[in-house]
Amino acid sequence: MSAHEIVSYVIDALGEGSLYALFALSISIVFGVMKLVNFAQGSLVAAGAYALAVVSAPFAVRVGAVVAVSVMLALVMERVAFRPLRNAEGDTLLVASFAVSVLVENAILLIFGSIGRGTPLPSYFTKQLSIGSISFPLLDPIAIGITGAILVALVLFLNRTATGLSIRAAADDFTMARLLQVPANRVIAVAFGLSGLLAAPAVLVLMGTVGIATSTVGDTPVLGAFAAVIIGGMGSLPGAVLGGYLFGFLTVLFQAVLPGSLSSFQSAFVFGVVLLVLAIRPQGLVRSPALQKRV
Amino acid sequence: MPMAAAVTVGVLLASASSGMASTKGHAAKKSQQVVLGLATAQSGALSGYDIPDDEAVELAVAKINSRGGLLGHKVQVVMADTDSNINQGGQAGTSVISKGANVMIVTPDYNYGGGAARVANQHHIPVLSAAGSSLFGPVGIGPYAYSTGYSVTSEGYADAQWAFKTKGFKTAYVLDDTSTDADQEQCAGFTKHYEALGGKVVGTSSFLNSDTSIAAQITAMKSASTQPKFLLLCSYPPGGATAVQQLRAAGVNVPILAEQAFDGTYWFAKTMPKLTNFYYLSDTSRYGDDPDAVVNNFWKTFDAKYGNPAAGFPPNYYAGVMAFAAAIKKAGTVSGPAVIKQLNKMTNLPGVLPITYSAKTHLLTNLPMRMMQIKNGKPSYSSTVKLAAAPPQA
Repeated sequence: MSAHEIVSYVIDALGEGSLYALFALSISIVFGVMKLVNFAQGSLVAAGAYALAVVSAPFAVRVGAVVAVSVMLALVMERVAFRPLRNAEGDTLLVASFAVSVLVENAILLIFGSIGRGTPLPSYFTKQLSIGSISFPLLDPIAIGITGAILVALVLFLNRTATGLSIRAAADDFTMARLLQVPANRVIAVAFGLSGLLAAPAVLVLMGTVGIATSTVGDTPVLGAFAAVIIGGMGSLPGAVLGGYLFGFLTVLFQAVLPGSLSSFQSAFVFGVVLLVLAIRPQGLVRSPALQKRV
Repeated sequence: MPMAAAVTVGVLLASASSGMASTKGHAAKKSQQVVLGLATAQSGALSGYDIPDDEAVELAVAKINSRGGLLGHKVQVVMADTDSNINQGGQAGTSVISKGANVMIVTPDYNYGGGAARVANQHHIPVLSAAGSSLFGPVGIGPYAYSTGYSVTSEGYADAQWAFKTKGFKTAYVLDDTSTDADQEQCAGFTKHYEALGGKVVGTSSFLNSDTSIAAQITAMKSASTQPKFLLLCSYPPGGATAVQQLRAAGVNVPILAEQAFDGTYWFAKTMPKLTNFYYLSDTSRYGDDPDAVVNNFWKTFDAKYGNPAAGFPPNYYAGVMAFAAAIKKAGTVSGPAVIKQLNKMTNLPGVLPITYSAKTHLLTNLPMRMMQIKNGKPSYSSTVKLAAAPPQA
C-alpha cells in the first residue's frame, strides 16, 4: 500500500469517524442523564432527514425545519414514552426505545411511502478539495470541525451554565440531585432536547453523504454510534467522540485490508474488535464518573 | 394513490371474510375458478415496489375477465400483506391459500418472496414472482415457482457483452453490493463472461446497501494500478444511489453500468439532476421509446390508469399473469401439476415480454434486453442487448 493510499484512507476514516462521533454525542447526552440507550435515535434522524427532503424552501429554512422536527420529536418521545417509565428497569426502557423506533419508522412509511426521497443540497456538500494528488470531500473537514465545536460547546454548557450543572448533577447521582431540588423533569427534557438538537448537524452531514432520505436512513450510523459510545465509555462526551473516530478508523481499516472474499464480513471484524476492547476495558476507553460506584 | 386505497379496502374485506375463507376455497376448487392470491408487500418498506406490481396484476385480471375469464369463470383476486417483513411471507402465503388461492403471486425477490413461494410450492400451487435470482425456481424454491424476471446471471453476461463488444471497454472495476444474493450473482456472471471475452477486471470492492459511506471503496478504486474504462455497480437504491452520488462527487466520472433496479428517476432527479454516463439493463423502456409497440402500449395503459410508478416491475407481472392464464387455459384445469406441465412447454409466448420456460429453467434467461442510458438527467432507450445463447445459470 502506497503512502498516498494510506493518507487517503486516513482521510476517509476521519470523515466516517466524524459522522459516528456526531451521532455518538447525541446518544451519550441522554445516556448520561437517564442511563437510557435510546435506539429511537435512528428514527429521530430519519424524521429530520425527511424534513430536509420534503420542505421546499431556502436552505436555511430547511435546516430550521430539521432542527425543529428533531427537537420536537425528541421532546415528544421523552414526554410520551420515557417519562412514564422513569422508574422502570433499564431493560424496560430499552424495549420502549425499540417500540418508539418502530412506531416512528412506520409513521414515516405511512406518510411518505416506502420509496426514498432525494434530498437536494447546496453544491458545497458534494464539493471535493485537493491537496496535491489527494482529494477528499469538503464535507469531511466540515464534519470534523462541527464535531469539535459541538464537543467544546457541550463541555462549556455542562460546566458553565446552571442547566448544564443540573444535568451533570443528575448524571452523577439522579436521586441525590432530586433531593437537592434539581428539577428532574426539566433536566431530562433538556437532555432529550439537546439530543434532538445535536441530531440536526448529524442529519445534514449524513444527507450530504447518502443523498436519499428513507425510514431507516439513521439506523446504520446510529448502530455504529452505539458501538462508539460503548467503546468510548458510556456517558462520557469525549469518550463518545473518541469512540466515533475509532469506529470510523476500524471500518475503513478492515475495508482496506481485508481480501475480496472477506470484505463482505467487514462489520463482523469491526464489531469483533469492539468486543475485544470491551473484554480488556469493560468501562470503555474513557471512564465516566457517573458510572462509578460510590463508597 | 387509488390502487393503494383499493388494496387497503381489499385487505380489510379479505380479513373481514376470513371466517368464510375455507368454504370459499372448497367452492373455488370445485368450480375450477381461478383465484390469484397476492402475498405481497402492501405496506412497509417494499410496498413501493409491490403495489405497482399488484396494480399490473389487477390490469391483467381485468383484461382476462373482459375476455370472459378463465375456465368459464371470472378470475378472482385475494390478498394478504407481508408487511415487507421477510418472516411474514409464509404466513401471507398460508392466508391467501385459506382464502381459496390456487395461483399465487409474490414479492419480486428470492429472499422476501421466498417464504410465501415455499408455502405455495408445498401446496402444489403455481407461484409467480419477478425475482432475478436463479434460486427462484426448481433449485431454490421448488418446481411450482416461476419468475418473469430476467436472470441476474444472464444480466451479468449481457452487461459484459455490451461493455466489451458494443462499447469496447477492455477494463472494468466491479463494485458489488453483497446484501443480496441477486447482486452477487450478477457480478459473478459479469466477471465470468467479461474475462472470457478478453476483458480485465482491474479491481473489485464490496459494500452493503445500508452502508453510509463507500469512501474506502472509492479510494481502493482510485488506487488501482490500471484505471478502469467503466464501473459495474451490482446494487439497488437507496444504497446503490448513495454509491453513485459518492462516486460522482469523488470525481469518478467513468461510465457506470448498473441494473434494472435503477429504472426510474426518483433516486437521482433531486440529488444528481444532471447525472450522465449512467447505463442499466431493463426488460422494457417505460419512457415511450421502447422498440416494441406492445411494450409502449402497455406502459401507456398502465400510466393512464395508475400513473408512472417510481419503482416496481409491472410489465413482468402483467406478462406473468398472462402466461399463467395461457397455461391454465391449455391445461383446462387450475390443478397445479397440470398447469406447470404447460408452463414448462412454453416457448416465446408473445406479449409484453416473450415468455419461455422449461422443466429446469423457470425464469427468463435470454430476453432481448434494453440498454437504458441516463444522459444529462434524462433516461432513454439506447440499444437492445441479446445474448447468442442463454448462459448456464448459477
